[in-house]
Amino acid sequence: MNFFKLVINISLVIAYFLTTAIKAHAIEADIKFAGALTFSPDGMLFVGDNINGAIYAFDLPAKKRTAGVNAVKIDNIDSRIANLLGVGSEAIEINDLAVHPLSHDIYISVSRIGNHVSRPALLRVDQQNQVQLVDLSSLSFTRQSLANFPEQHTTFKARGLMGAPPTPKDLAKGEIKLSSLAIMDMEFYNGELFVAGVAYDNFLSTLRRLPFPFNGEQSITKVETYHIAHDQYETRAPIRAMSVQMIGGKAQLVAAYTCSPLVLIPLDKLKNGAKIAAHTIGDIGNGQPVDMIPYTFKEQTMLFVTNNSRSPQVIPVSGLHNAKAVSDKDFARGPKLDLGDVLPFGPVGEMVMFEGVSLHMDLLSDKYFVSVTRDIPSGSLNLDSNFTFFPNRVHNLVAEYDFPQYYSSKAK
Amino acid sequence: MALLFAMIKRKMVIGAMLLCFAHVIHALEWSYVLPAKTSDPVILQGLSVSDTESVLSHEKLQVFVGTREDCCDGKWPLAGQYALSKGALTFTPDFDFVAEQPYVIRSLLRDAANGRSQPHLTDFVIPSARVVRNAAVSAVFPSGRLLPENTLRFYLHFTESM
Repeated sequence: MNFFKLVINISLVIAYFLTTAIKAHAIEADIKFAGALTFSPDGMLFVGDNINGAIYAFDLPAKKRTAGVNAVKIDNIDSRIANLLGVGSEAIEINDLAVHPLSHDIYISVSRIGNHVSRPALLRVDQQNQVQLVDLSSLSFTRQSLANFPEQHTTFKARGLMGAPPTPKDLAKGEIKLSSLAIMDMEFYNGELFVAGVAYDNFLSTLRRLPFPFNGEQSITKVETYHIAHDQYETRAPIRAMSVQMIGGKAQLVAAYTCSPLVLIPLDKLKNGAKIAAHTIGDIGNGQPVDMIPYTFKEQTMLFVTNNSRSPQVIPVSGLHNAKAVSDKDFARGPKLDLGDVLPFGPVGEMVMFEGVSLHMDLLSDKYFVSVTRDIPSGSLNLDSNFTFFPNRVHNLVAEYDFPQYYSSKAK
Repeated sequence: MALLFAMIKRKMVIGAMLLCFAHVIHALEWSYVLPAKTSDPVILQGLSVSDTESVLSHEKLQVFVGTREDCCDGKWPLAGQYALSKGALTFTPDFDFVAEQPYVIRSLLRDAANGRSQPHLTDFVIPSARVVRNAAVSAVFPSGRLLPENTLRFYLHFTESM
């Protein structure tokens, strides 16, 4: 009997150390990279660490803000963050942004490079436009390691434009590890965290499904997508941005890929070890989606999809009901260019004006998006707020309204 | 100081800089201990009782990225922790200082001469632990004293990799 007790005790100890979910209160998080961010509705911040191959959940309790939410604006946000971190602005990389659902504080994940070492940092921007470094060691957190995480050696293949020899910039891209795509976007829905990225030795586009609180369980589903613009079935390039919506009476993941197919994936298809085909229902056109933000416009749920290569696309969720899934049989074979007859294809909504390029965006309130935006005239990187109903800051353009004569003629 | 001048004369610049940083810079009745390593703090010592009571720590001692020439309008001080003990205020940045990155300290202290508080700016750079050797031209080809009028190329050889 004692022998069996001993075996059980040893097994429990081994299980404790082998479990991939670790809860910590007093110890400092060993986080090495602060990448993708998302919040749960009650203020749990999930941070993707592409180096450790783990998701950290930091408890950030806050009281619900009762006063109205103000627009936030900080010009040269990169310089301001770099100042706090003791480096020049060229030595930081802003990785993501997420808004606390209760306090409406903005959290920004950053890589800070100094002394030949990259270290993660998390910053908070409050409603008074104050920027503070968050002391991660003071927060309680849980950590979930990701199974089948890509190794840290394989890099992209350097390629030049349309067969031309790679330029120095192309060669630099060729030094980026594929594991940098292992945690592209995260979405918390109904007690689970969904994580898009690459896995399985950098080979396959994957969706992970993690119950929260973390308990060591996770399911991994390989996802194949028919890509309209490229006219091929793709298994490697991962989902870039996604959102869970009720479509056709069931919860489905709406997801956008690079160049830029729009797909639906029913959540009930996401089972551990399965390989599934996403339902391709549209293609926004060539470019790289960055964020997909659900919001309400005229009492309709809309998806605001930003893109680093084109203006944002506003997609009504109502248009995704009964959307037809397509395959290579539905089109003439061959790649599709933006000026061809096919793109944009499907219920992808409308492209809207946005002044500058949003590199990261989230919903600040019912009234505002908040964005890290590359300003076109100055090249500066600004944190700014944009009305959800008219997200373009049109006053920054030079138009008829900037001429004093316009007003004098109106006064007559 | 003789050692310092000797090192400068012999172009042992890094060693001389290290000696400077290990040295306490004296000014008025207070002084700094500047960081010699990237993990070291900045220490402001010799504070009077009035100094320690009159101004908050983060107003008394701030460190900025850059130099005194561009300090400090539109800039924000480094995030870090303060500790006040026995007339010395210690600032430890949340992230280590970066070697070769210029920093400037701004302190708001009572001036012994006129008794008024005023800002003082002090630059510092922590040298890289890596030895930096100055490159020199070691050879020029063609090596002759006279060159043809139509010489199209010549070669410079350096002592260090370019």
